[in-house]
Amino acid sequence: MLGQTLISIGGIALVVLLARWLGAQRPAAGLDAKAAADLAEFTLAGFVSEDVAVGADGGALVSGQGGRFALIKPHGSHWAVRGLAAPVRVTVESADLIVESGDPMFGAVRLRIGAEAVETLAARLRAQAG
Amino acid sequence: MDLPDPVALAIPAFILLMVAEVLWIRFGGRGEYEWRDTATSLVMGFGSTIAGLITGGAVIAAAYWLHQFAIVDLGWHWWVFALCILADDLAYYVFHRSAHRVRWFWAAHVIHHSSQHYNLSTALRQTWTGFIALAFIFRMPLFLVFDPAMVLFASAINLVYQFWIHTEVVGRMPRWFEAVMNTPSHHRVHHATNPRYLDKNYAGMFIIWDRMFGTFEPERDDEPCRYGIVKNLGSFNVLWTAFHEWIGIAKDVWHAPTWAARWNYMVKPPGWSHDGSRDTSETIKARWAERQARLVAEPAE
Repeated sequence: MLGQTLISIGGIALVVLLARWLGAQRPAAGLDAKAAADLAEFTLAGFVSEDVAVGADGGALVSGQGGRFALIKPHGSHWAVRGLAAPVRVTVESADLIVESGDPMFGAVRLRIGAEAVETLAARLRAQAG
Repeated sequence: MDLPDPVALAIPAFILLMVAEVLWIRFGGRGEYEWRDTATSLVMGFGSTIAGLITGGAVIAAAYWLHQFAIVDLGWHWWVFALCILADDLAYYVFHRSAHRVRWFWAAHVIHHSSQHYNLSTALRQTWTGFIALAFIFRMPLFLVFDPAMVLFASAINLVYQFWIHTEVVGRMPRWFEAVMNTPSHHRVHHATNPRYLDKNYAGMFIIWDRMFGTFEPERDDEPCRYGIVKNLGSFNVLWTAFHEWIGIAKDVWHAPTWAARWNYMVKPPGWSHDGSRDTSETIKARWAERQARLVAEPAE
C-alpha cells in the first residue's frame, strides 16, 4: 500500500513537471474578434454575436443580440466563457474595463482595451444595465 | 479465487504511458498537455483512490450480502469470466448514460469531463463522490449472478481498459475494432461539447451498446472535438472541481420555489431549471439544429 502510494505521488510529480516543462502554457493563438465571436456562439446556445471588445492581454467581451454578453478569459492554454445577462457589472480603471462574471471561481476579467474604448463600452454596458 | 488488482498493477504503466504521451506531443504528435490541468486531473485521480479505500468496504459488504440471494451458481469458468465482463460493461453503459442524464449522478461524474484537454491524464480525473452519488447501485444486479470477486475484477478491467482511449495521439483503429470496441475516436466524441456530439458514446469497453441503443455518434473529420463541459469551470481549483456541481444542486434546491422543483433539480438532466432559463443538452442541440438550418437557407435567399 505504501509502495503504491509513493509510486502514485512520484508519478504525479513526474508527469506534472514534465507537462510544465514541455507542455503548453498559454493559448496557442491570440483571440481576435472573429475567434471571440465564434467561441461565444459555440459555447452559449443561441448566442448571436454583434460586437466584440478584445483585450490586449487576453480575454474579450462579446455583445450579443437580446442584451446577452459573453465574457471570455484565458484559462491555461484554452479559453473559458461565461454568459452574462444585462445588467452587467463593470468597473473602469484608466484603460482597463473590469467585468464581473458573477461567478466567484471564474472571477472578474480585466480587459485592456484603451481609455477611449473603455469609456464607450462602459457607457453602452451601463446604458443597457439601466 | 484469489485475483490480482488490475488497477494497482496498471499504475506504473499509466505513468509511463503519460510520460510517453507528453514526449510524443512535444515532438510533434497530436494533442496537448497543460501542467495545471494535468495536476488537477492527477490529484483528482489520487483522491479518488483514497475515496475508494474509504467507501469500498461498504460496497464489497453489500455485494457479498446480496450474493447470498444469487439466482444461479455459474462457478469459475473462462466463459463465465467472459460473460461477466460483458454484463459488467452493459451495467457500466447504463450507469454512464444515467450519469449524464440525472443530475445527482452527474454531480459526481462531471469531474471526469471538466478538463478542456483530452489526454491520458484526463482518464485519471476521477470523482471523489461516486459513493454519495450511489454509482455502485448499477452493478448490484450482477452480484445476483456472478461471484462478487469476479464482478469487481471485471470492473477493474473495464476501468483499466478505458485509460488508453483518452488520447488524441491515436487516430482511428482498424475498422473491425472500431465496430466492436470503444476507441479513442469514439471516446473523443463522448468528451466533446459540440452539440452534435453531446450525450453520445457512453460505452465503457464495447461500443456495441451505443450502436444497439441509438446513442452512437461517429467522430467526423470536418468537426473537431472541443472538450470540456457546457459551462467550463475556468478554474484549476481541485476542491471546486470536486464539489462544484454538488454546491450547484444545494443552491438550486435551497432557492427552488416548490418541492417538485427541489426534486427535479436533483433528478432531471443537467441544465434543467424550473423556469426554463438554462440549457439542457436537448435545448442546445435544438438551437444548434435551428442555426444549421438557417445557415443552409441563407445563401439561397
